[in-house]
Amino acid sequence: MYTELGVGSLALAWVAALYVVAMSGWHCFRNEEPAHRSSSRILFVVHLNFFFLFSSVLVLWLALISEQYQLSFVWETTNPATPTHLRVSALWGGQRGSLLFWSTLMSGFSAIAALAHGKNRRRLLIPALMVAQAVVAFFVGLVLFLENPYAQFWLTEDYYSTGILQDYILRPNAVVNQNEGLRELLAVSARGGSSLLRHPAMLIHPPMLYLGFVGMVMPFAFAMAALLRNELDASWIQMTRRWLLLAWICLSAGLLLGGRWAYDVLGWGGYWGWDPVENAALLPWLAGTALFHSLLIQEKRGIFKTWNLILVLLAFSSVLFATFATRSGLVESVHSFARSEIGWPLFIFWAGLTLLAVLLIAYRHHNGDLQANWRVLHWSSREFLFSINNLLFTVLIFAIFWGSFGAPIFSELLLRQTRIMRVQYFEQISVPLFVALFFLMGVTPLAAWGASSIRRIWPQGRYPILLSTAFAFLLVALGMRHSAMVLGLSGLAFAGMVSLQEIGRPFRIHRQQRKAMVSALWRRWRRNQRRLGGYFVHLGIVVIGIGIAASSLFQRETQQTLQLGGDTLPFAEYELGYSHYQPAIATDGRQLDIAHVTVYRDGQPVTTLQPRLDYFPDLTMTVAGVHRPFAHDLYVLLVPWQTVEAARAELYEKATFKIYWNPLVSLVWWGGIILVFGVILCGWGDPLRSNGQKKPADESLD
Amino acid sequence: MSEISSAIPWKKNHPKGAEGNQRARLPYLLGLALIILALAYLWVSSNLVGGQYFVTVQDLRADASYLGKPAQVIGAVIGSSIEYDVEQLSLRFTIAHMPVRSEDLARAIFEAANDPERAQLTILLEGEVMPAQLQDHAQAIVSGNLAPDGIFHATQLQFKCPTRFGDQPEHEDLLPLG
Repeated sequence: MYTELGVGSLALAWVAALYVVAMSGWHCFRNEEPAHRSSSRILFVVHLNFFFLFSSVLVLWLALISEQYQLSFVWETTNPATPTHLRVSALWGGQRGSLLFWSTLMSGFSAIAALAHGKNRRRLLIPALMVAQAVVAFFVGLVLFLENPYAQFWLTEDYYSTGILQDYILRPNAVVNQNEGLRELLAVSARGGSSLLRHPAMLIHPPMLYLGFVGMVMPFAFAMAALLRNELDASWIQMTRRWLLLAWICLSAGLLLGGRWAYDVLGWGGYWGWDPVENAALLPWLAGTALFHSLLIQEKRGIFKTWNLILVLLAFSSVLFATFATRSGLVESVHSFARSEIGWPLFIFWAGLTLLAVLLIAYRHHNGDLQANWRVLHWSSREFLFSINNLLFTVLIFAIFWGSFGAPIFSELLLRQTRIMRVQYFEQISVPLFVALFFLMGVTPLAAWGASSIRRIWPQGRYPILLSTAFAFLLVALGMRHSAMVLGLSGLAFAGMVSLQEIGRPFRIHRQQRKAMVSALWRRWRRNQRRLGGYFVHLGIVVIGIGIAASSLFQRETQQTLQLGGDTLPFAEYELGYSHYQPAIATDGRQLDIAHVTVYRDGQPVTTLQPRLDYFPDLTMTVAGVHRPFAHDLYVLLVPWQTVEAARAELYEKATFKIYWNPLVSLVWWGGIILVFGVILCGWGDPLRSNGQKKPADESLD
Repeated sequence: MSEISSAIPWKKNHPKGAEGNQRARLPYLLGLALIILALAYLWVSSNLVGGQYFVTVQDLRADASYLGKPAQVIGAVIGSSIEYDVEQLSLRFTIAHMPVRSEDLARAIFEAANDPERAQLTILLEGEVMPAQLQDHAQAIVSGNLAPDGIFHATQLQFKCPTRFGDQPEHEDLLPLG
């Protein structure tokens, strides 16, 4: 029943998506605005598409929760010991379920777009839905024909000859019996997901990343719609901005949650490893960040029209490429799914869609439809600084793409010898670029639009400039001799101080104008909320940057075997003693070895940490005990033995610990919260008058 | 939007006409060229510092030119070879040659780890906690370099672990039906 319901809903969703593509494509081809009735039908079918896909997801969730092991996807991702919340997250724990989930989110975004813009913006909406539903149709097609999560095991004659039980989407002819008792027998051998994915962050990290990835489809769809309709004024930007914000915030949260998972679970004291799949998720984030800045220039100055379309394409194209890289076996990574049949279709779709979009942009550019109000930019004007920002982001995207995918592929093709990039490559190339971007983050808000800003930058920014210069001298005086470190840290300080100054500016103007009323301040805040949100995002990025810089530059580590109840180990400002050993059994039946480590400071006990070993059937997980005062993390790992027996024989006497002191690492997570707050302000901060016109922001703050 | 852009005065007069325009652009073009040159230098130098070869155990063993150079090697973990000195945090294990790409990863690992004729390589990692995923029949992706004594000194380990051999349930899983 599950297979019939699930596959039936999928098939209907696929037909619905194809209908939308065909109907809206027909209107686009004739370059006509569809009649109200006709376009309403298209919008209705878009909602129907989401309804069918969501139904399909519900069926799979039901199958996972009710332990339908006759479905091969359920058998692969869960087993009878899997708790309910992990059954829910098993949907995205395997390739097939995650593709279905991905398609459903994408369809959901189309449905929301139809609701949000369906009233008065159908001329752009209909072609945008055509593009979005074409992508949905492709992914639903992949799920339906190549990676179907509803494939079911059947006992056929082949099983008795080969010894291997096969799964089928349609009931095969040669079924030997009616699968009686098969589900119970399959439960015994069901695999269950990887134990590494049991962390709470794993419940949210993949959906957040998917939302971020999938969210990029709507900006791309609206950009393509604008190109197809040749309506390349700012309407597509207005329709796109909140989608881009949503995608970007979800990508940011997804990346940070992934870092937190690595920090808590992988037991190496770090949170980012420059792994190709991590990098693949970073590429659309970088493209989206560059796009925010250049969209602002188009809004203000009417320039960068072609470049913005290229960036939208780059963001979505990198999403498709990341999907292809993760799911095709192109790169070896701890994150990647197993090699599968969808590699080539994904590659062809990615290459085809990218090529089509490039041709469309080139055609409009060649026709002069993307002409901008170009003038020679003054080198210290805000738009010139923005363009340097875009150049640096583009180089960063290219460099990370090259290190992760380009170098291995090209060296294999051209040199017949695979050359891949180590962490050193990514560090060496990205650090100077990020430092330059932080300086730009500080200078750009001080510059003026459209004119020389030299005379303006000093009076506007003298305090941040003086203070960050003093900070750089202080670092040198304290013994820091590495110029990149001094530059980087003072760049961070400069950008942070400028952001704080700009956030505080409405309050200062308010005070100077002696307007005591809170309501006046609130109105000023609301009028400038989008801009202020942007500065909060900058502040969040600076805080994250400080966390990353401090925890990677000044991290300390040690390792030591400690006797139970014996001498303490001095480390950083602490002393650590192994005070107690506690073997235990968790509620799900797994065995635990817990070491109690008492942490002393100035001879006084501060806390007791409990680093532990969790023995899962597939692996032994080292779970860190972490003391988290604000300024640093004291991160203690209990070093595992090869077997649980060996561990238990020794732990009553002694234990070996690996200990990290990670200064300011908490700022990485706190910066993420500030960033999310800033993005919410940006998205919420478009107060419209009753006539639909936006109130102008204060020129005095510009 | 176009209303906004047209409302804002946007004038920069260049009385000398096209020639003056070109002359005015020269410093920007020079500046841009400098920035691009700096970025190109950064990219090339990073490539020189950060590159490493991605090789199989067989290739690494067969070619002496890899000795001492940064490399990433892929192989199947032989579980019985894993030795971990808890107090010294010294990990030693052996991997067997397997192809870089295989349609059925679990089968490729199984065949590599159980074939004594395959080229093998001893891996040594020091100062790190034993990775959770290191186990028999895991696929190891090891970064480091090969020392003259034939031991590969690792700096980074990654593992992929098919939980069991084969993608589908086998006869032994369902014995009562057989």
